[in-house]
Amino acid sequence: MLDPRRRSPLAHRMPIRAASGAVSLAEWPFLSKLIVRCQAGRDATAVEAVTGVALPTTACTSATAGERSLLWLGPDEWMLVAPDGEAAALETDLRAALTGPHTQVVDVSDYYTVITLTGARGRDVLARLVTIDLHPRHFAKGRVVGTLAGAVNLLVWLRDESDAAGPVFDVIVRASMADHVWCLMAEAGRAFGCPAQEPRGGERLRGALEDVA
Amino acid sequence: MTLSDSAPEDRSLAFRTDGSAHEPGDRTALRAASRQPYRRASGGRIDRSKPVHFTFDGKPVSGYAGDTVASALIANGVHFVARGFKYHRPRGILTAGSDDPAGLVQVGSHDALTDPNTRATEQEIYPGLEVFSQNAWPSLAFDVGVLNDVFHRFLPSGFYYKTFMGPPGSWMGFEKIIRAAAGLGRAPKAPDPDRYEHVNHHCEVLVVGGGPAGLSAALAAARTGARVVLCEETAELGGWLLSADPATRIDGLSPAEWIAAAEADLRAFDDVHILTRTCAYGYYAENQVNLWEKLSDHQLPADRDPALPRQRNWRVRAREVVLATGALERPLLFPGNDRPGIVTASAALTFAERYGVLVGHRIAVATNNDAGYDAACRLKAAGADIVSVIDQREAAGIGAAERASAAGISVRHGAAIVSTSGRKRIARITVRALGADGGPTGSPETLACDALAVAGGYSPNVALFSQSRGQLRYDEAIGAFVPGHSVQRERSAGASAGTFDLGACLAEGAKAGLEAALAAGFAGEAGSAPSVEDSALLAGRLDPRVVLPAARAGRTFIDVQNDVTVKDLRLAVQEGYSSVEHAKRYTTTGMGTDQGKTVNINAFAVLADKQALKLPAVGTTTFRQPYKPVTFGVMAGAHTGAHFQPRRTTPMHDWQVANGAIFETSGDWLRAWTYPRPGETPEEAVQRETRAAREAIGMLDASTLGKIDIQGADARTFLNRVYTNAWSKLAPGRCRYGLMLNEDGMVMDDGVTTCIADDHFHMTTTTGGAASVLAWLEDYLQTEWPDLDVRLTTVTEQWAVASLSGPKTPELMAALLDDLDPDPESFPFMAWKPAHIDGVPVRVFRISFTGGVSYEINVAASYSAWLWEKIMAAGAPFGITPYGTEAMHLLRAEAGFIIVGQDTDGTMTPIDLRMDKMVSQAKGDFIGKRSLSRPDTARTDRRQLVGLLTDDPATVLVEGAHVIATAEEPAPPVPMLGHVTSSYFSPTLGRSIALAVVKGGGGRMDETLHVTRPGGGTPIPVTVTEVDFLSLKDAGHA
Repeated sequence: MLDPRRRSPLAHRMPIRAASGAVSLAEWPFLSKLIVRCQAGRDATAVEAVTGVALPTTACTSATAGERSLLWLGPDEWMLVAPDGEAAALETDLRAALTGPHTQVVDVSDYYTVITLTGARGRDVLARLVTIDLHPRHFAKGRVVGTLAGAVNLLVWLRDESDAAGPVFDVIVRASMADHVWCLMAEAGRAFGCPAQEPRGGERLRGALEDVA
Repeated sequence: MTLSDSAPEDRSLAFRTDGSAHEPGDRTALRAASRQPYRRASGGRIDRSKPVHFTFDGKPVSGYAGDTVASALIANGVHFVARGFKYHRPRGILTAGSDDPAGLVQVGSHDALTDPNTRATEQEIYPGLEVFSQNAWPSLAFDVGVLNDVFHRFLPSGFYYKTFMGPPGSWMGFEKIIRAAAGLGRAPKAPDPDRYEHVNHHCEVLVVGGGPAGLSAALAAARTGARVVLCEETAELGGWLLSADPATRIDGLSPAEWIAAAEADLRAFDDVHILTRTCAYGYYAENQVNLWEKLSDHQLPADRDPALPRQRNWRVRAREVVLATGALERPLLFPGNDRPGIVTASAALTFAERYGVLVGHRIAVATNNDAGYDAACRLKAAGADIVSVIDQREAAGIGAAERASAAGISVRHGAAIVSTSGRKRIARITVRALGADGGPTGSPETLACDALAVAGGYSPNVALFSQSRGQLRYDEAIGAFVPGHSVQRERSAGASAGTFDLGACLAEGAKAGLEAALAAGFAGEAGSAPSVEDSALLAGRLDPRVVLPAARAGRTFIDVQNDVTVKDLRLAVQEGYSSVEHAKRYTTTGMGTDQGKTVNINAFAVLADKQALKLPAVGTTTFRQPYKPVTFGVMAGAHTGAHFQPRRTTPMHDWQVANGAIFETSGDWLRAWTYPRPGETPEEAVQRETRAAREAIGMLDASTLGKIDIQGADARTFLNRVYTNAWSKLAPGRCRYGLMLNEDGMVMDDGVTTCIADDHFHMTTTTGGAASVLAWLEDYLQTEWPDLDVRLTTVTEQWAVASLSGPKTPELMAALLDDLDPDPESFPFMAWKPAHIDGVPVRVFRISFTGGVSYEINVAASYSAWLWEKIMAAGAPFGITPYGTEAMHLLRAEAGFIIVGQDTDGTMTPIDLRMDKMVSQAKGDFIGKRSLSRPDTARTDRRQLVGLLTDDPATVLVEGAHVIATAEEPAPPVPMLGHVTSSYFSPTLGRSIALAVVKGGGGRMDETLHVTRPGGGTPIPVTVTEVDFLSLKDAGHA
């Protein structure tokens, strides 16, 4: 059950569904996320034993079992995503299982949030933000890359894709920059019917006051 | 009233056309305008069922849908649209495309939407479009700046460099005058309300240019299944085919039918993108080509789709590129070659065939190749009288002269134009026969005309090829540079490769498209070559000589936008600027907004001629991105205004806004600076917040501090190497402050690191240093110490941080914590413990940045907004007060704690900070250690951090003010001892306090120094003290 005391970084944003139906945006809040650093050759079995997911070793790929996925971030670095509430136990169990050198397990569930982008024009929206090749021949289901959207680091993960549902992208972004990225994505979707999203702003700023004075 | 300027010598008309003396009624004007006396009866790609009315300098003009401003004005007899940059001479339309040098207009009158320097040849007309002439005051017809033309001999090349030389300081005066005279159009005054966007696109084959070669290339590539992008700069695909003889047949189809069929074929492919009104403006490394798509500049603003951006920047990363960018026709050099009404022969054909407009009713044609004959015959067939073909060659190519004579066109062989006349439009040309040396010999003959078509040969459009760093090769046969050695994965096809025959262009395009797709890993076979029936005369044997009559004959212009003449170029060579790059800059040839697309090769020819060199020996200037001026909007894309850059906010942001916070930026973060109450100034608020943190409880949102999770058996070794102090004995449950140095021994960052377990640490960094410190540590770990069993992961935003400080904090903590006794006796300073608040796990740290009793609560960020409000509510009975970064700065200054980046500036060692105790001598090496023993770093008279107390406790020093030794400020240069780094009024001490760096400051305790005042005045006397003002107060010293 969701703890009402928690608040997600994009709690102030309502999901967007473009009138055309070709683009939808929604926050996927509170997903458990852990950074796992280990040696694939030595530790894959241990990781799989705890998570139930086979450790993907091909660059920029992911593996999923049930509701858990492992996203390849680097030769010795993965992000484990799992349903809300699993992070603490997974952190404890993985730390116990990964006893060798050059390992690390860290809960980063609240560091990042996920913006799920769906709809037939999802690729076109992302192409306005990131420079990577998103064509289905080069970016198929399960692919995950770390990249930049303007000044923001993010992970782009094609969690699912089917003829019926189209692509399901999860964009994993720092909480503090989520509002900026949300608005950029909506802006990129304008041509496909997304409403404009005004970024958070209008705060009283120190410099602005000094300018007046 | 007539818009026609075909009666150029009539002054009264000149005044009428500028609108200063209106003829009665707009109706008359409209009727006159709708006549379009130069419009052909039929033909062209325009839609004659859709008349379009727009205005030029406020007067109505009529054209048709499909017209450009240039074609509509010419249809109405107007060639004179602008004035030159320097001499303000009348300028007309030379070409029909984006290469036009001087036909620049201002589009729109709206303060935010107006666009200067728009080529009349590119702006499509729409109802209500407002077009204005530029660089003319008070009007186009009567322009004061034309005085520059009268005094032209006093404005030679290098005029700026020769005139605005000295005396020293006078540039400040010159600059104002030059700035006022510089520039052509008016910049918009208000922010741009339009939207722009960037699109990243990947493809196997990018084809630049939608002419016959480009269309063939795109078709051939698309048939292999490759992803293809085809971009075309103008509104329609077809390129030169749109200007071709309609009798031409390709596989039995007319040009228009063939284009339509090709486009339909291309659109049937899923992975083919066709972009019209899209200019490939930049060819960059790794086969990235940027395209500039104009989506709505051709539409009535009310018709523009609000969902679409005005313009797009396509960043195309192509495996292979086919350049089919066509060729640009060069004008000829002769005295008076800059008058309106002089157009290139190819432009005359484009206006006739594509837009259904004759550039004149009596057209003279000057040429140095056979293409001039082709133009003359076709213009005649289109309905114009051809005054004569003036061919500087003794003989034309096979069949050319015969075709002209069969069409009843007179030809003057071996002759050239020696002068022209006509103020607002060419009216007469004077022709003389040429002698063997190229000089005029025969008697002058004057011919009346209302337009002059010039054919100086075609230059392949190699701009993008050159931007890709490809090497050019000079082709003697066509007298132009063609693509030579390629550097990137591109190939040129058609006219841009020097191939002008239509059949050959189609074949070459198809071959290039297929080869590109094959090179990108796709498979396919060549189709059969189309059968072509085309009667066009190609350039044939071109006479590349620059035929230049005697200098006295009048000015011959090279660059008609920047007003550079042949004489200017020759003078540049004479004065030593013989290199093409020097001559360009000295004379400004090709430095206008057109970058000399049509005229540069003529400039190179003049330079070669003056130095008796061959053209290839002179070389070319550098072709740089962008191909043509690109809007700032399309460069910025969506990253403008509120989308400009991320403004990072903490989970407490909304609460802070609701509670009146004023924010300051710290890196990308917005941090609450202070929380003024109604009626309170920010300064008063900071004093109140500081007092609360000293006397009751203050709470700071410290979530933005950088945090790094460190795990591994060698974590202590790692910390020993990156911090100056020792970490071997820090027990689990304990925290320690550390200073981080760079290799030079200078303080780079600081923060508290906590031992969670023997192989697990939690490091904090400054807010601004978070990213760079992590990168720095990773760099060392991966490149210098890969053997260490240490792994780092940023956890900055995983934990939100509330920093609580003040004497009543232990009581509040006791009320909050489920399972931890916060008593400072049992939970001492620099310790941490895990605990719970209402069952939510937290980490509590007994660390302080205020010098008072402090607790920092770290909680998973998703609970932090709730926890913040819970603490505020629980703390209310204790007088809890949220404080911002300014009070934080004040509180830490009272305690003498440094802020890296404020009290340090990259030149301060720990010893300079008088934090010698932070530097462990016992442990092994650490980053920066060796530099601390460098003679200069080890000097004892370096600037050192000290406290300053003013004699007058009410005086608050200015941060940055200089510290000097004398009571009076001596004459400059003032011997400076140091400067004030931090300065505040301390409510705790009831007086001002300051930190400063002072030469040998550690040895100057209790010395009286002086601090300068900004703007002068008697320096302020101060006493040097230790930095811990709280201790000074306790000891009764302050």
